[in-house]
Order: sequence, then C-alpha cells, then structure tokens
Amino acid sequence: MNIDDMLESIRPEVDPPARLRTKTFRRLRGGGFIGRAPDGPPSASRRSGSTVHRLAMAAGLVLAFVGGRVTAPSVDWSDALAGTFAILLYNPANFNPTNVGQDVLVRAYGDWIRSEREEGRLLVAERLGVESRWIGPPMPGASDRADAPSGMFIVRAPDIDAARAIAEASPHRRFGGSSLIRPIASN
Amino acid sequence: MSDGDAEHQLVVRFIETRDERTFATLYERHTPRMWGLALRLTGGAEAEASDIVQEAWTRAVSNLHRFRGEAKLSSWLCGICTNVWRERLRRRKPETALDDQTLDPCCGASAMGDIIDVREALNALAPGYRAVVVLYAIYGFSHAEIADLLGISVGTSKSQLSRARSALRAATGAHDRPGAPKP
Repeated sequence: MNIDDMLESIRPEVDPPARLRTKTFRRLRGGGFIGRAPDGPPSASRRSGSTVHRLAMAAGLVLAFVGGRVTAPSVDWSDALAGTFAILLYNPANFNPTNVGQDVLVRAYGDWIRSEREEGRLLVAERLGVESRWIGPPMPGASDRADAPSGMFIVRAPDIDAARAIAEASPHRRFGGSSLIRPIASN
Repeated sequence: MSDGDAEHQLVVRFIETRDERTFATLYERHTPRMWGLALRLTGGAEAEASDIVQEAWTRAVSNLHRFRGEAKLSSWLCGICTNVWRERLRRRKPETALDDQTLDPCCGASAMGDIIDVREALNALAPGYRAVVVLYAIYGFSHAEIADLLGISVGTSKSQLSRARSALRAATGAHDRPGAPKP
C-alpha cells in the first residue's frame, strides 16, 4: 500500500463526543455569545441563573487582589480582538485586602479565574508588581506608584456593559478596588 | 442557491440573532471536521483537542462578522483551530519551533519500527511535521495557506511534508504511489 492511499484513508471528520457540545454551548452562553431564542430575548431563567451564579461567586470571593500572578492562557490577538475588553485594576487609598489572609485571597482569585475561564469570559488575569520606572514627559494625574493600575483582567464580552458586569462581580471589586473598563481596539 | 450561499445566509442569520438554534446548525455541520483536525494536530490528546475546539468556536462566534465568505467556512474554522493549537503549543513548549529543520521528523523514530498504522505513525511525528501532513494531505490546505497558518515559509512547508512522508513510509512500510505528484 502506498503512503498517499494510507493518508487518504484518514477521514477529516470525526464524530465529536457529546460532552464537547455541552461544554462549548455552556461556554458560549456564559460569554453571552449565544442564547437568544429565535423569537425573543434570552430566557428569564437562563438570565437569572447567570446573574445568581455571578452574585454567588462574587459573594464568596470577598476581598482583594493579592498573591502572585494568576494567569489564564492568553490568546492570539490577531484573530480574537473583537469583543475583548481590558479591566484595569486600581487600588484606592483605603484598599487593604491582605487582612483576610493571603491563602484565602489566592484561593478566591484562583476559583474566580478558573470559573470565569471555564465560562469563556476571562482570557488574562495579571497582577502588576510595585516596582516601576516612568519614562517620557510627566503626565498630569498619572503616577508611577499608588495611582497606577495594580493589575488587569482581559475578558471577552459582547459589549462594554457586559464587560462591566464581569468587573463588578470580580474579587477586586468585592474587595473595594476600582476598575476602568476599556475595549481593546481590533484595528 | 449554492451550498456556499446557504451557509453564508446561515452565518448572517446567526450574527443578527445570536440564536442558539442557528448556532446549533453551524456547530453540527462543522464540529466533526474541527474535532478531527484538533485530534490530529494534538496527536490524539482528547482533552487538549476539546479545549482547542471550544476556544476555536468562542473566537469564531466573536469574529463571525469578519467572515466574508471568500473562503469556505469550514476552512476558516479549521484555520482558527490551527491557530489555537499553535498558540497552546508555543505556551506549553516555548522551545518548539514549527519550522525547525534540524528536528528528526519522528519523535523516537527507533520506537516506530513496528508501527504499521498510519494514524499512530502520524501521532508520533514531531508537531511541526505532523501539522503540515495533516493540513496538506487530510484537510486539503495549500502550502501557501499552511505557511500562513503555521508562520513558516512555503519552502519549509514543502520540505517538512517531504521529510514527514519519508518518515511515515519508513514507519509503515508503505511506498510512494507510482506517478504521484510531488508536493
């Protein structure tokens, strides 16, 4: 038998497992990319389920953004920019999450990141170190330390309000941190 | 109406409605090919292939408005799968270069002596070689398209295909089809 016949005997299509469908649909629904019924808006039960899920998650996450770096896999931006938003994290003056204990915080962030990632919403979560260097002309209102972003999330969402809802449910917000949500320009 | 037109209409309807039932039609139609590709690219690693297909669909539905219908939707989706696979490979094994010509095409070639199934032999190829064979011989991409998808030159794509075919012949005991065109 020759090698071309052997390769041609390999079918390009393979029946995918049922669980792949379940996971894919759940992820797309979670990200708000699918879900409207043909005749109307998203079902109330689905929407309220998602909200309850988010609130429960947020309530369980209590305080701030500490600990080391926790990163979800990044993406190739060249084909995935549309519908992505940066959530820049800021620490206001009274922001002091470390009093709950680092273990609690790391676990809270880890759980939230895993969950958001499974739902297809979170692409990147990074904490920025405190050391910094400022270059270029001074910028009014900008600082090289306390007022600078302390970290960022990059999320996928249908629009900026949906991205804002994700930020609202994040541990950083629950700990009393502030966030700025901006779309990532696709071109 | 051609199949391509009907498909394009389906895409337009989905973009306008985000309707789950319309998406289900697209999913059922194209996932077997994406799943097959992801399995081949990963050398049969089902969990990783599953992650790749989920991520590919997520990116696809985020960017469907960019799909103009110039290429087949299936090719576009397979291209996204390949991008996702490549990106994951780079993250997991930063040292892996898909155009590394110094690599032996076969991972552990000595262990391939008894392999007769071409699928097993394919899975044992180094990732870059495997990807070229899979995309060219099974999924019908051109060398130019493969070069673009994998970030390698057309010449590299051709030479990797040639070396991979030699490795597969050696592993399976197969030969070239008489008069077969050179890649």
